[in-house]
Amino acid sequence: MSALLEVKHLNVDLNLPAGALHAVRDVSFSVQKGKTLSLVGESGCGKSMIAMAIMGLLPPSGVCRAERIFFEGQDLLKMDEKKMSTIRGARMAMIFQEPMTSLDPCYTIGNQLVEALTEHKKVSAKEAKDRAVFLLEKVGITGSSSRLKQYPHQLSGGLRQRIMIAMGLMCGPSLIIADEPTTALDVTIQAQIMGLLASIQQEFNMGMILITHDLGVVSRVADDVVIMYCGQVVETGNIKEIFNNPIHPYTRGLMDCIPVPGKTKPGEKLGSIPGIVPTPIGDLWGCSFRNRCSLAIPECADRGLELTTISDVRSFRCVNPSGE
Amino acid sequence: MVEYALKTENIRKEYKVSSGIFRGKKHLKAVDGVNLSIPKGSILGLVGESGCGKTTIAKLILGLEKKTSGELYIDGKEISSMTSKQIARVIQPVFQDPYSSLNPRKSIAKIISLPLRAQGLSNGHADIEKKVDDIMEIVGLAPRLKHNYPNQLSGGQRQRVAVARALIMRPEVVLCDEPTSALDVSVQAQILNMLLELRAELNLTYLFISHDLAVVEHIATHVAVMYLGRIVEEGKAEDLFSNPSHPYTQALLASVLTPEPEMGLPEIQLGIEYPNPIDPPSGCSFHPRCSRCQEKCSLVAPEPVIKSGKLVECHYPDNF
Repeated sequence: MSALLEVKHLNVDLNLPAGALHAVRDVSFSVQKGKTLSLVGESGCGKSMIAMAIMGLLPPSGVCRAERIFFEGQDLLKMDEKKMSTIRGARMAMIFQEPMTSLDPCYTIGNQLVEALTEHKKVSAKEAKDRAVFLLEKVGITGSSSRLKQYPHQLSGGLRQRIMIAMGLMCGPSLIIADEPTTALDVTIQAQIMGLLASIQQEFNMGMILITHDLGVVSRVADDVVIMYCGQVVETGNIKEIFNNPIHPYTRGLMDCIPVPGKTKPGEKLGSIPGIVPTPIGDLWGCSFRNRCSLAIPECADRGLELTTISDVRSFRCVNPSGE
Repeated sequence: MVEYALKTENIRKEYKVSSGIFRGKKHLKAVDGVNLSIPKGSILGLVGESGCGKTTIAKLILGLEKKTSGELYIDGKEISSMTSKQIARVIQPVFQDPYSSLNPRKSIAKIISLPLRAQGLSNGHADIEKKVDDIMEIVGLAPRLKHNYPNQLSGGQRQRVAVARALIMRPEVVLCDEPTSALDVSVQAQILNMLLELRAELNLTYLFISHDLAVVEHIATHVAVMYLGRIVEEGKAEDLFSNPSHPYTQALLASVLTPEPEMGLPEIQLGIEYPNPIDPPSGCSFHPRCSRCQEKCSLVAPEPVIKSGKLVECHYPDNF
């Protein structure tokens, strides 16, 4: 079975006054129908840029190069803007982090939901409204016909995020890209929204790219994980393998950083990664993590450090993972 | 006898909210009779969802808002008898977002030394320089950053500047309002480690406000859970986390997504959303969301009871 989305050797450069910033470097992954792939990393690691490159929404300074980005059998790189706009929002939908800012305050919820469908498909206003009501109920919003007349400011953050999800689903997409969908929400709402996304994804058999820095969220919903650092993939794998047997020192460092009730002792020092994420500007070589890594050896600075593949989905980019 | 760095007695804060042109003002009870006491040298974690009044308590303690009624003692003194400068000597804040809590037009040395200069505590320029150097070393900032500006620093470094500014007066209490929620996980760990070290070194007391229960469990010695302006459960951290009694605490703990791939997503019992504080539910304010709600809960507000060493405000405190 071919993948729903296949990204091969994606590079994104941002042309800044200080020089080209290599935001994404040689990233490859694929998303299957009904599965969730999670892109994990700290801010500035390029995970959101990947989403923007797939959607064709890079900023004007962004340059995207890739061997291919195949989505439902079509190469997105070869599409012009007009063709792309028939796919964006219709076949693949995006859910952003901030439900407060991604809805238009001047239009009612109903207007915005209906527009999401009529923009892409020739349907009557009645049909579009019916679909909006149906989806609002799906995302757990009661009294949906009165909700349609409300404006975004009348709703709480959790409700707005549910509406964003409903809006993403209006055209029946096959791929959902969720960029930090629960970061701005309370813990109680976070679990609800993630549960909702997971159940809707199963029901409609959609693929999902979940972009987040929260390893807790990832561990509960993702099938496969891509760990990113400084624009590069440092480790990929099945969710259980990544969490039970992390190979790359950065992945292990990230996991030691989070306090886990029952595992980390209260009041004790947490593991931490010294230093800060470098800015990927200029000529880059070797492992980007070597300056913060406790296991670094001279070979880490070698040019052309490739991913070591263990199995179909499992790979890592490190010359000295065992620290010998 | 236990000495308290901070103690509140039945403290209340009401805001008047306009509900329409021809209607009268309504009262919003942001803080509705809160009793908190923080023993010297301990860390009280204050948790709750957004809108529960955590930040209002912080503002009352810092003297940024005037309480409507009740008593608030800082280091044994009632807050209304203190001037704002006196309050600032004892208690200093660290805010959530280091990107907006530092003045972008001032150098790091200026930012850190501002409390000293505001209090008129400086013995000349050299003395201020020395104190700034000392505190920068304590919080782990390189001395070369002294003449930099906030925009040249990373998020973690900025938060260290905020901590340095809070500590330069050597306060008794540091009030941390979500100090790590704007930071990346690896930086969060650095800052949490630093806060714990500083507490041991300088014998500080923290009021640690957060919605991240995993972080609170890691750092706090005492925990208070807040809901709609009331403390619904309070106790020692190990008691509260190992044996939560209030259904709200239990629900909060169940919603924490720890990195355990075998667990899957939790079933959340908190069906409907957070109530509007202008129009709080009758009886126990948690009853519309409570899985154990009985008839009594919607009629009578519960009184706090002591249950296995914790203070719980529930008619049917129980463990599952």
